[in-house]
Amino acid sequence: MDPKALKLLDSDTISRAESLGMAARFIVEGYMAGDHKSPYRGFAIEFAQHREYSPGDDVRHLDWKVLGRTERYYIKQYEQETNYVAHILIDGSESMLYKGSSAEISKLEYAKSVAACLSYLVLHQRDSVSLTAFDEEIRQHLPRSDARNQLFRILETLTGFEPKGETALPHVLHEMARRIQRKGIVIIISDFFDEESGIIDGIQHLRFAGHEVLGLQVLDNDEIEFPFTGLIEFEGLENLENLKTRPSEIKKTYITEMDGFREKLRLGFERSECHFVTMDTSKPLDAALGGYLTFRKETG
Amino acid sequence: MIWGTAAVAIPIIVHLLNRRRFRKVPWAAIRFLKISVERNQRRMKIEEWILLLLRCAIVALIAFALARPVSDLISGRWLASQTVAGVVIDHSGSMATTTGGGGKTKLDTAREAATGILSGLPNGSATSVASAADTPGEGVLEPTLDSSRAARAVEEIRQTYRTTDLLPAIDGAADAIENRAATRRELIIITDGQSAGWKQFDAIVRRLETAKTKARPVIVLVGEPGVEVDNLAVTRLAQNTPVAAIGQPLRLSVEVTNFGPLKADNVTVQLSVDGAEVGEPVDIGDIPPGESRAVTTFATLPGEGHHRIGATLSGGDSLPLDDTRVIVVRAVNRSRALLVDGEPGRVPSESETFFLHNALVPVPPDRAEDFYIAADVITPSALPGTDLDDYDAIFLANVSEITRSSAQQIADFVGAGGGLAVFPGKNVNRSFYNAELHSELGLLPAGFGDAYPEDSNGPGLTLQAGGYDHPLVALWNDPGAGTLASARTRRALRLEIPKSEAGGEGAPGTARVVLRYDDGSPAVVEGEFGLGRVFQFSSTADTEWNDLPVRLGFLPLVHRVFGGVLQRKGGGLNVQVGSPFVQRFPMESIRREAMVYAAGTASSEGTLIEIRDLGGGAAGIEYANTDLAGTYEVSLTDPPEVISFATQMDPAESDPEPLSKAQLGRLRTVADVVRWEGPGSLAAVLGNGGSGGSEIWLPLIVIAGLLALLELFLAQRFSREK
Repeated sequence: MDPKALKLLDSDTISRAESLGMAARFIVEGYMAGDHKSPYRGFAIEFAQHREYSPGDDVRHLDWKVLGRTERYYIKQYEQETNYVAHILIDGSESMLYKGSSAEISKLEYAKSVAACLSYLVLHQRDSVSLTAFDEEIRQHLPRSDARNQLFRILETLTGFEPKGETALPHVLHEMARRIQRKGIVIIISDFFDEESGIIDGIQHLRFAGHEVLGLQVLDNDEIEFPFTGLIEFEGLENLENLKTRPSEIKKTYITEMDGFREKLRLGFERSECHFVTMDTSKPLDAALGGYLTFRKETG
Repeated sequence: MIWGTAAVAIPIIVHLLNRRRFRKVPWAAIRFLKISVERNQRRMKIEEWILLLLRCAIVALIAFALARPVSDLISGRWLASQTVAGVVIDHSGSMATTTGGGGKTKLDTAREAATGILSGLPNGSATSVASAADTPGEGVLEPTLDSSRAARAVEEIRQTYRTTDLLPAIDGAADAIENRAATRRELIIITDGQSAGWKQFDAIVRRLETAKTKARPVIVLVGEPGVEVDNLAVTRLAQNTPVAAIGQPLRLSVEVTNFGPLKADNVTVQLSVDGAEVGEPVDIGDIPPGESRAVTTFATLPGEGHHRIGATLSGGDSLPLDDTRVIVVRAVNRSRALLVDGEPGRVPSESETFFLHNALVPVPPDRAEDFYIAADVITPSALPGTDLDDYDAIFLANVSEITRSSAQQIADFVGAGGGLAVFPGKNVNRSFYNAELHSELGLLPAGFGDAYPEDSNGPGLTLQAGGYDHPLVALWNDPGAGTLASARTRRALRLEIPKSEAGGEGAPGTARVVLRYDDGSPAVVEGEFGLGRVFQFSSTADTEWNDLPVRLGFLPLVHRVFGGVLQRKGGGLNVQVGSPFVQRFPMESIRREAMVYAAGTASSEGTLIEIRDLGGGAAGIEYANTDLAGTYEVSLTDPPEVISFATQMDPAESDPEPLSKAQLGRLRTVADVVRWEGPGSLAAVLGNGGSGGSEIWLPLIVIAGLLALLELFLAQRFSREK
C-alpha cells in the first residue's frame, strides 16, 4: 500500500474514536447489529454471491462446501452483510486545495483524513462503507462493502484522487439521493462553498430518500478568522475572478458573511434533523472529529 | 515653488505604486469577499480619497512653506516675515544737542527710537546696527539674528564729536542688507537731520534710490521740529605766533559763532593753560545770529614742552560740546637757526643773509641774547665743520654748491626732524641742486628750472594776492594783516615739481605749493623729508632778484617758515576729531610701545599701540580713534616721554540748521521720512503694517503638522479591522 494512504489514518483520531465505543448515533444500527444484539440480526441475510477470499476476511464466512469441492477459498457474500451503510461523499473541487498560513495541510488532505478515519471506524464495526469523490460531477465511486480490504481500497482511492473542477454540490446531492439504494448515513465532507438553498434542497432530497445526513464542513482557519493584513490580491480558485483589497477593511463584514453562511447551513441541516459540523484544519483531527462523536454519544 | 508644487505628485505616485504591491493569495471563498468588498467599497474609496487628499495637502503645504510665502491678510509678530534691517544711528557731535527738558540728548532719543524699532521687528529678523558720523560705521555691521546683540550695540553707541557724513554708513548698511535673503529689507537711518550732515546730499539720495529697489529706506528724524536751538560755539582757536617760546606772549586767535536764532549778548571767553584759567574772560561783545566774531588774545607758556590751551565760553547752551575748544602747543626755550651765506659781501648789509638774519632776530644786538631765536651765519666752506645738532633749521642762501658729505650731513639733519630753507641766487649751481639734492637725496621737493621772466626790465612777478591755502600763509587771507602781493620779483628760478608729486599736492610726504606768483607758478614749495621739513624758495633771500625782504610781510613769512620747521619737529599736535593723529619717530624707535589716553578717560582705559614702519622711510604711531574732542596723551616708554595732542570738533557740526523743506521733499521721493515721537510713531511704515506682508511659513508648517497628525490618526482608524 502506498505509504501516503496510511498517513490518512490518523492514529490519534482512531484511538480516541475507538475509546468512545463508537456509540455514535449514525452507527446505532450497526452498533446494535454488530457488537450488540442487533434487532436485524438473523434477518435479511440472503446469499448474494461468492467472491474470492482475501486476507482479512472473516474465516467464518468461508464457504466450506466450495472449498471441499474445488479447494478454492470463497467467501459467501450476502445481500445485507451488515446492518448499516455509511456513504462518504468527499468534495474534490479546487477550492479544497486551499492551505492557509496556520494549517499544516490543505482542506482536501484534511477531508481525506476525515474520510479515512471514518471509514476505518465504520469498517471496524463490520459495517459497510461507500466512498464517492465529486466536484461538479461524481468523479469516483467505490461501492459499499464491509470487507476488511475495503479500507485499503478507500485509502488507495483517496490517495490517488487529484482535485480539479468546480463544486456543484446540490447537483451531486440530488444525484446521490437518486443513486443510493441502501438507506444509511450520508457523510458529506466538503467546504460547502456553494449555494446554500441548493445544498439544503439536496439534503432534504437525501432525507426524503430515508438517509441520515451528516455535513462535515472543512474550512481553513484563514477562511474562518480572515487574519490577513496589508494589500492582497485574492486569486479565485475554481475559475473565480481575482479580487484586490485591503483585508482589514472588510474583515468584520467577511466574518459576518461567513458566519451567516455557516449558520444558514446549520439551520438547514437541523431543520432536516441532521447534524452540521465545521472542522478547522488548523486544529487536530482527533479533537475535531472526537468532539463531534462525543456530542453524538451524549445526545444519543 | 514650482518644484515644491510638483512634489504633490509624490503621495499620488506612492499611492499608485502601493496599488501594485499586492500579495497574491489563492482563495476559495471569493464569494464572501466580493460581498464584503461591495458593501465596504464606497467607504473604502472615501477613506482612500481622504488619506490621499490629506497627504497631497501636507506635501503641498510644506512645499508652499519652503517657498516662504508672504501674505498681507494675516498679521502677528510671531509670524511676520523675515526682515533684514540695517539701522544707521547718527552719533556725530550735533546729536549731543539737548532737546526738551531733563538734559536728554538727541542721541538718547535716537537710542530710544532704535530700541523701539528693533523690538518691533518680527522674530527671526536679522539686524545690523551701525553708529555713524563720518565713517563707515561701528557696531554690528553685518546683520545678526541675535537680537540681544543688536540691542546691546544700540546701548553701547557713545556720543562722539565727529562731523557728520552719513553716506559711508548708509552705503555700508545698504550693502550689508541688499545681499541678504529676506522677504523684507529695511534701511533705517536715525539722525537729527542736521543739514551739515548731509553734505553729500545728492550722493545719498542716489544711494537711497538704488537701495530702494531691494530695501525700504526709512529716515527717522529725532529732535523737536520747528524748535530753533540756541548754540554758541568756539569755532576756532589758533596759534598765531609762529614760534611758541617760553615766557613770550603767544598770540592766539579765538573765534566764536552764534548758531542760534537770537543775538548773543556780552559773549565772553575764558582762556586756560594746562587747565588753569588765565587772566580775565575775554570780552567778545554781542554776536548777531548766524555771525562769527574773532578776537586776538595772548597767553604765556610757563615751560618747555606741550601745553594745553583752552578757550571756554561762559554760560551754557543746548550743545555744550562746542563751548570749549582746546589746542596743544609745544613751547620751545630758544631755537637756533644756521644761515649759510653764499655771497657774504664786503659789509654785513651786502651779505646774502642780511635780511634773513634780521628777520629771524628782529631785535637790537644787545637784546639778541634774550630773544627766543638765535641765528648764526657761516660760509659754505665752514659747513663741514659745524655741528648741525646745535640748530633747529638751516637756511641756504645763494650757496653755489656743497660737498657731497655736507649734503648727506644736511639730509641726515632734516631726516631727524630738522628744517631746511633754500633760497636760490645767481651763484647757485642748478645742476648740483637738481642732481644731488633733488634727484638723488630727494631732499628738495622741486628742481630748479630756468630763470624767469626773461625780460628782467619788465614788470616782473608779484606774489598771489589772496586765496592762500597753505596754513603758513593763511595769515594773509585777513586783509588786516597786510599783503604779500606788494613785493615784486624781477627774477626767479622756475620750481619744477615732479608731475606725480604735483598731482598729489597736499598729501603727506609730497611737495606742496605754499605760495604762488600771480601767473600761477610756484614761488615757495614745501616738502617733507624724514621727520623734517624743507621749504624751497624760487627767488633770492636778499633784494638782488626781488624786493620781498624789504616788505613788511618778509619777517612774518620767515618766522612762519622757521615756526613751520619747529612745528614739524613736534607738529601735527592738533587734528580734527575723527582724523588720525600721526607722530613720526626715528626708524630705530620701531616696536617702542605707547599708551594713548583719550580725552576724558581714566588712566586705566588707555590704548596700547606700537611704533611701526609708516612707509617712506619713516616710523611712527598712528592713532585713529579720535572720536572725542579734547586733549589726548601719548605715554612712551624706554625712554619715558609724554606727548600731548588735541582734537577739535568741526565747526560745521555746531550748526543746527536742519534739512530744508526742499531737501526733505526730495528725500521723501526715495525714502519714508518720519519723525520719532515715541513708540508707535513708526507703525505706519515699519513692522507688520508695512508693505511686504507677513511671512506665513510658520502657520503653514503648523497646519501641515496638524494634517500629518490627522492623517496618522485616520490611517490608523481606517486600517482598523472592519
